[in-house]
Amino acid sequence: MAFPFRRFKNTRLIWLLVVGVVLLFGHSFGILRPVESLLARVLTPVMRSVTDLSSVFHKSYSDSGINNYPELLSTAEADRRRLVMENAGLQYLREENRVLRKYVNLFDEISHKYVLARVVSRLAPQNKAWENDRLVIDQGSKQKIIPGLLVINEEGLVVGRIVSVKDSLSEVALLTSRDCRLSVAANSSQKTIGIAEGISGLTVGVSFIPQTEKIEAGELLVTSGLEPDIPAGLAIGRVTRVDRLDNKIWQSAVVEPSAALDVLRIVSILLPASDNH
Amino acid sequence: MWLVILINAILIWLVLLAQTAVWSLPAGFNFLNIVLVILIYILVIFGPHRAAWWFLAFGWFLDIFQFNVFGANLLALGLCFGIVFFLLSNFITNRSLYSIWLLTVVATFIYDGVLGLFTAWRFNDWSIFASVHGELWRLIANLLLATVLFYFFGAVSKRVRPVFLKDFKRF
Repeated sequence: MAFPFRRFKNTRLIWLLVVGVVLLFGHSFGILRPVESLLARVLTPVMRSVTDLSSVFHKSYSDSGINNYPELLSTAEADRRRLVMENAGLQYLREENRVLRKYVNLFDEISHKYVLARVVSRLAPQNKAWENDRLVIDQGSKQKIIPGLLVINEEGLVVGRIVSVKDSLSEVALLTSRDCRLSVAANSSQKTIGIAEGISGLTVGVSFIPQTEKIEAGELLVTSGLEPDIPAGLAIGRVTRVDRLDNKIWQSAVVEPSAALDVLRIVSILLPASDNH
Repeated sequence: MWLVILINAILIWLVLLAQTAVWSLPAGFNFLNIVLVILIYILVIFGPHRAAWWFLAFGWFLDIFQFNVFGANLLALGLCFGIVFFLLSNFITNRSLYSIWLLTVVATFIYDGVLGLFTAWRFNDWSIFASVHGELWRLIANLLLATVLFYFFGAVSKRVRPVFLKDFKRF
């Protein structure tokens, strides 16, 4: 005998289908866009706070595998002294202020127009984000953000690229994502050497490096500026391993991203050069 | 009526917040699909009428805040609702933990499968279906959550305790 459920009335089913179709077509024809944008704007502040809390756990979890305890101890001691002196309630605001000031100084240096954005959440694993390598940020096409733009942190280190955009939300593929590809140059030569692409949400691989290029572990890789809308010279990471085989046409390398990708709260999107003047 | 709608909207929003927090956890922990498991419980405990609106609302909310093709979540959750309801109406005989597990397994495969199809189409990358172990871990995470919630609901309500044939009551 089956579960004694009440029958689901046909009229209700029709109502549900009608509402579902209205939601779909309302979005497709842009009728519901204002409602969706309003919802996104109203609800994202709370989502940001929740994501911030999760990021704290994320960082503690990531740090738990680190073994350089003497250095950690000295850092922790310094942190403790600092925290005792600070008012706990003001700490978050102070941190935010510091980041924003850094951005102001940074953009004075690189003279590029930018949009600041807060991280709303990570993306659900079902959306090809199994490796936790995608972010949702609270700025979108209304702020002239388009797919392909570069995303950096407050220190000017490359974080990733915009993959897709909605009215007031954007999706960022982090450097460690397979969907974030950038042409890179060695900092020492400033010459384009290869294409960087994320590996399994953990690290970055650089492929198509000509055999004639001399590249060593420890070399800092930067954006080459070869692609439109992406300025040259922004740090991506340091080479940790070079795979060079004489019988292959290309070399490849593994790069550790310079930016801490687990604890991003505020990021900056560099706008296209055409918007700069 | 408006109060009921408001309360339901707030509850839906709280579940969505919890899901947002889970997505930001380290890889592995972020496999938990709180929304899906909660929806199964809403269907089992409160019946199809309320659950249908919850499925619809979550589908719409997730489509707004996620970047898959718009409607992917609506469709995935709609299919989950239809198939889980069909199983509940025709095959499941009680509200035991095993029934919940079965429904969770089915719903997880359907939801991840449909979203995976849309994602593969969007990125033109069909290799995502090769990651069987990822799906397995997501399934295990959801089953664990379903088990925890089963005992939680069992403690606060009598609606998910195993019911034997002689105890059937229409609700």
